[in-house]
Amino acid sequence: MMRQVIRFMTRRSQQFIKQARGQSRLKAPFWGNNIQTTQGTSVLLEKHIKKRKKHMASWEKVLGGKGLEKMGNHGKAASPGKFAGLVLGALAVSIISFGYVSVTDAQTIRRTLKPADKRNPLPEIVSGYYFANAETRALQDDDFDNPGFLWIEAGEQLWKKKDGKAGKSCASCHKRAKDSMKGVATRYPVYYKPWGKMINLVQRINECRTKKMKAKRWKYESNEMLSLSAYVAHQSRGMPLNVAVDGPEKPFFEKGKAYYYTRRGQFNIACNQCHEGHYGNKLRADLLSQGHANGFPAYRLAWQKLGSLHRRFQVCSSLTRARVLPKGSDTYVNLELYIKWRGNGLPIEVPAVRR
Amino acid sequence: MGTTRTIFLSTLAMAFMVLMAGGAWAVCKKKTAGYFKQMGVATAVQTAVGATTKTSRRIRGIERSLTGRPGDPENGKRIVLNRKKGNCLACHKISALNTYLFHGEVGPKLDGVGKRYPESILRQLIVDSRVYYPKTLMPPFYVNSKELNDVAKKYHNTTILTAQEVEDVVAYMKTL
Ligand code: HEC
Ligand code: HEC
Ligand code: HEC
Repeated sequence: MMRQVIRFMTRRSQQFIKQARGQSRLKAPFWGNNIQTTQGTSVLLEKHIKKRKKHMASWEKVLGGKGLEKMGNHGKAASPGKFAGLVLGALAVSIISFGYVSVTDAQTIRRTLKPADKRNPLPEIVSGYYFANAETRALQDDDFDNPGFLWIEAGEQLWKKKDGKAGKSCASCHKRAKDSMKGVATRYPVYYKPWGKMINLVQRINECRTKKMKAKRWKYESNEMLSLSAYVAHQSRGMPLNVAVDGPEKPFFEKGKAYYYTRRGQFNIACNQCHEGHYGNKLRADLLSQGHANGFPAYRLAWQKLGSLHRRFQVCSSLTRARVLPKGSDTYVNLELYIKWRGNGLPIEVPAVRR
Repeated sequence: MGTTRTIFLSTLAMAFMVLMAGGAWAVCKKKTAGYFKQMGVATAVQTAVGATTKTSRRIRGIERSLTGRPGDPENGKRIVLNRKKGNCLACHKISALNTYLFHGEVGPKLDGVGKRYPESILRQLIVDSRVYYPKTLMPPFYVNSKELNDVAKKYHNTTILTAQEVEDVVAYMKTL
């Protein structure tokens, strides 16, 4: 028992050392931020590492062992030809090795993945989790403290609840969500023939509600929809995102990409400028992440509730004073496809906790 | 013997670190100073050529005040801080405003900009910095939103700052 805890603790601190070393694109304040809060494996970390075991098990499946090798070594992910990066990296190593006794263990958890798809413009894929501060991460790590679980539990109830003229519940057809919904969220949005376009998980649930259950459609951001969609997505927690883009999805993927790279709003900023060009930099009090979708629906402290990915899109759009589109609009679904593809390989974290 | 070796090795390590730190410093320095250098060259060319093309706008910036009135640095500071106006701290660090929390690091530090650049270039940077940095993330503060893509209705046909507010911010930057 004690040995296990110690193992987790050392793993965890190594993880931070690793990250500081490899991440040449993430500038000093990025790792500084994490190192500060973990120095000497602070009390805070010790506390939540103990509680973390259960959660770790699901993460390790994806991040540890063989899965890890498959995803590639992020050490190679350093952007080539960047002398500045190299020097900074070396400096980081020297500083770190000053402060820490370097520990060697072949089995360390890596925070960043190398994209499997060559077309992915990101040199490394990092979950929003690692851009959150220690307190927020601790909240997410602990299933008991994680406020998102209130919605997950509500979702579980809704899964079993009969509704609509057909007198059915989700469970009547899909039985146990644990089995039937496992991995579903990793594939969504998918191409949906009846519509001739993409459909995301929320819309798919509404399809089942209206077509199969003859029940009322739920509003996109209603508590019911948030709960059930989070519950369904939660069944894939720890599994890597894996959306397809090369089949009939292609034209929609291209549209999403075009949206992503177009400057908009009175501030005239495109998504990529913040999330690709400046991740790891502070924007006011926020540490800019790569803007991945693997945590959504996520509990956001600023919202004090669970919120959908499309709600986040709306927030980011209004940050630049751009036109805000309706949740579930075609453009947002295409954008969802595109950013999920950018994060292909990232484990699903639903319900994530964000600032 | 053992101790000499240790001392030797640690001296070597120290030397290496100093070297690395120096290198990193030089690189960082260059990165921030690069903006300045580029401008320095530009101002030199300006006096020599004095052309009136697009490049000359680039080189000279906007020489004339937008309002004809001098800016008020005190009000400029308020605009710089105001999140609905300049919100410069979202992206820039300004040491003179250290008492205010949360300075961003998306753009370069603004310490000393008033000495780095002539007023005309500062003005152009605020009005529309894309003239110098085509790919920049810095908002064009005095460009009518009619000329910009996909702007929210609320902000149609407006500029982020008024002409006088631009002048005030320029005046404030000259104090930095
Ligand atoms: C009358 C039976 C029935 C009911 C009730 C029902 N579904 Fe379905 N559901 C289906 C069928 C059939 C499919 C289509 C399977 C396919 O085409 O692959 C499906 C597909 C899905 C999918 C997509 C699965 C995938 O692999 O892409 C999701 C998600 C889903 N349902 C969720 C729900 C939820 C949530 C509820 C409750 C609100 C629900 N369903 C209620 C029959 C039902
Ligand atoms: C002005 C900079 C800016 C722009 C432009 C911007 N965002 Fe964001 N975005 C943020 C900030 C700040 C956050 C919150 C901190 C973080 O996670 O990066 C965020 C968060 C996100 C997240 C949540 C990430 C997570 O793990 O919780 C997603 C998804 C996202 N943005 C997508 C987009 C998309 C899509 C666009 C383009 C429409 C966009 N952003 C444009 C600043 C921006
Ligand atoms: C959304 C982020 C953002 C905001 C807000 C912003 N800037 Fe900038 N600014 C930048 C970036 C990024 C650069 C660097 C130019 C580049 O390479 O794109 C820059 C460059 C500058 C420069 C040139 C600095 C140099 O050394 O070359 C000045 C001066 C400047 N900004 C002033 C301001 C002022 C004054 C405000 C507030 C009215 C402001 N900025 C608001 C992002 C921003």
